[in-house]
Amino acid sequence: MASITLKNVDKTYDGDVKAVSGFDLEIKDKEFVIFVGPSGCGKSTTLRMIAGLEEISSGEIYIGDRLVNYVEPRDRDIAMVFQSYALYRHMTVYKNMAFSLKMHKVPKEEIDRRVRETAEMLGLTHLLDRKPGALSGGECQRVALGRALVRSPSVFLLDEPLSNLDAKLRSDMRAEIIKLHKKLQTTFVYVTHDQTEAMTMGDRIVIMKKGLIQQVDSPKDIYDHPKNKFVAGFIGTPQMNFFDGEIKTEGGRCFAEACGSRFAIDGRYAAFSGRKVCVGVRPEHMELCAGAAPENVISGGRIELVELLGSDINVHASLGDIRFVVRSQWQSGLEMGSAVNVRVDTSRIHIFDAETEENLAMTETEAEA
Amino acid sequence: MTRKQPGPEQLRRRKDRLNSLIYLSPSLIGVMVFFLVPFMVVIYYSVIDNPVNKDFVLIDNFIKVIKNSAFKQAAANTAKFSLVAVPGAVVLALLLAMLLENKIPGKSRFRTFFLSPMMVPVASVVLIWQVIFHYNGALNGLLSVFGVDPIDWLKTDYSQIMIVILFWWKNLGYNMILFMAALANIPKTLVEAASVDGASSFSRFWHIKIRYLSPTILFVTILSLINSFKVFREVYLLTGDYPYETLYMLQHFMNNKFSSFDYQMLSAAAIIMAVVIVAIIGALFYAENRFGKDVEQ
Ligand SMILES: Nc1ncnc2c1ncn2[C@@H]1O[C@H](COP(=O)(O)OP(=O)(O)OP(=O)(O)O)[C@@H](O)[C@H]1O
Ligand SMILES: [Mg+2]
Repeated sequence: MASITLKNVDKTYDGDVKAVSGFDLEIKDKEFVIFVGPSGCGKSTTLRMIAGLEEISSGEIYIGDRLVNYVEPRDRDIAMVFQSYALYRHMTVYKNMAFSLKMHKVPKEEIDRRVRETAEMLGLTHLLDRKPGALSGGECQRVALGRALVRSPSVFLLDEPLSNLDAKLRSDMRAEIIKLHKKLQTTFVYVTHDQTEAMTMGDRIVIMKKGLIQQVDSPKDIYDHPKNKFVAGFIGTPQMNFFDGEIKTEGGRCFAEACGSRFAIDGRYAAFSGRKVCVGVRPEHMELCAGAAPENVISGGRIELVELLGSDINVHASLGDIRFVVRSQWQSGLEMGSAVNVRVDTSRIHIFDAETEENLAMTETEAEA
Repeated sequence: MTRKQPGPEQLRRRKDRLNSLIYLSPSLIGVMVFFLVPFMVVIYYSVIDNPVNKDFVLIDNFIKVIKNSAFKQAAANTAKFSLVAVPGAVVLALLLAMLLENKIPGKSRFRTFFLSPMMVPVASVVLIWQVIFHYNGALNGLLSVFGVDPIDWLKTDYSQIMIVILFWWKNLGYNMILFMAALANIPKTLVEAASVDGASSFSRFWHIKIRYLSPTILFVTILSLINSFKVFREVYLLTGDYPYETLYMLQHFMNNKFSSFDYQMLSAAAIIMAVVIVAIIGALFYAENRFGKDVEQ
């Protein structure tokens, strides 16, 4: 049980590959923190630096109150699940799981009890005598998880532990890990590129891009108040729609002009009048509507594709060369090529600066504070 | 009952076999002429009384060899030498390879340094050793400065140590390179997983790395074993036909039997030696197979 603090951590690999830069983060004791970001953004690298498997180029890492920059991985009291399982191929599942306990000189009976308990929980009991070579990918992944879970370290580091499971097993394991975190009361750092995992599992999400932290917040805050266009586009499926536009003030009211229409926005944006912006609206905050209107409606769109997702549908539409997606209830009469009008829920509109891509609402509040 | 016509599958397989035979034939013929046929001849010689009479005597020659005191001496010397030199060559080479795995300045120069003995012809190697270890050589000269009496390195019990060191000097470099390649092939994440799991560097070696090294250990051991039987060359060049008795190797015995035209005893001794080597190598293979089977992808 321990907090983790990263202070201005940099990692540059040989050959000038800057994998992580200026990483500042405080992970509280017992917190469940998720690292997400596109492939190659430095998630694994950061996790490996916390584990001590990768030297840090500059900065400081603390586990609890202890500076661990020069502490060996084995002395950091961590357990880790590797992206590539890293199972010991010459050992049975049982021995794989028992290995760390053996290394920590835990008594035999205690090892046996804990291994069997963990195996039971992960549904591995019938596989205990097999070797990794005779397991499926999903089974290997559960063994890798089990190998970390048999111990009670102060920090769990998990690098995409569910990436190779099928959908059902994945959602089961997701629930299992959440329960485990509640039960173990230990700090979890979890790397994923799966949005569902990010949104459902963590207390806080750390979104990264090209080695830089973009935003650290609770899943709800990240969804509702994305700091910039990248975060807004990264979280949420289908992706947020973006329209190039401009902020206008007229008769004391504030508008964002885009798509040949205008959207009424909060008066506090008046300060940005005349600014080129990018208007972001999530597909779930738009609806198909019957008539055209001068405000808050994108009219004259053409349906390009209708995706059926059970009860809901995603309507992909275009307006000139602008493309966007609308999430809607299923309804008949949506044919490819037919015209649609779309009403936008203006209270859920996000406005990003066209150049800096920062969320204007948040730059403003920061300016006030 | 009619005879079954060969199916298309069988025909194809027959053709494959013929093809592979054709491709193999050049090297097969080479092996036959220079290896199998001489070996058959050796077996033949070992069971006749002499090349003129050609009477079949079964195991008489073998009994004669085993009772021969020179053979016993040679076998004991060779066994003793191999028993020290081979494990030493394997362990030292592995240690060196692991040492060079760390970030050491001038690493590649070290590598070249250890490899260079391989490139020097045996005759000049021996010359250098003679210059150093001769009774009036460099080492004794150096020792005399410190008031130590000269030692006749090659004609005392020190001589065996000399030969072991010569052997290591000649073989360590190559073995080390083999081990370095093997070490580089150990999956890195496994070692990392072990270190996160709390394994000390010794445990990481003992529980993880050695599994991945075992095929190389086997290979290096066999290679060194065969080389250890060949150390005769160096000894012969250093000390001639009849060296100090602890240096009298199996091949001295065979060489001397060859010069005295005693082909029967020579052949019998060669077969005994071959059987022993094959038995040892077989045992090594068996052990490696059991030990390293799960890590091979
Ligand atoms: N050993 C290395 N040497 C040089 N560059 C490396 C090394 N390991 C990673 N990198 C680079 O560092 C960057 C971050 O890699 P990292 O593995 O942390 O990405 P990631 O976010 O985990 O991606 P993924 O989701 O694909 O696992 C990448 O650009 C990668 O190419
Ligand atoms: Mg990764």
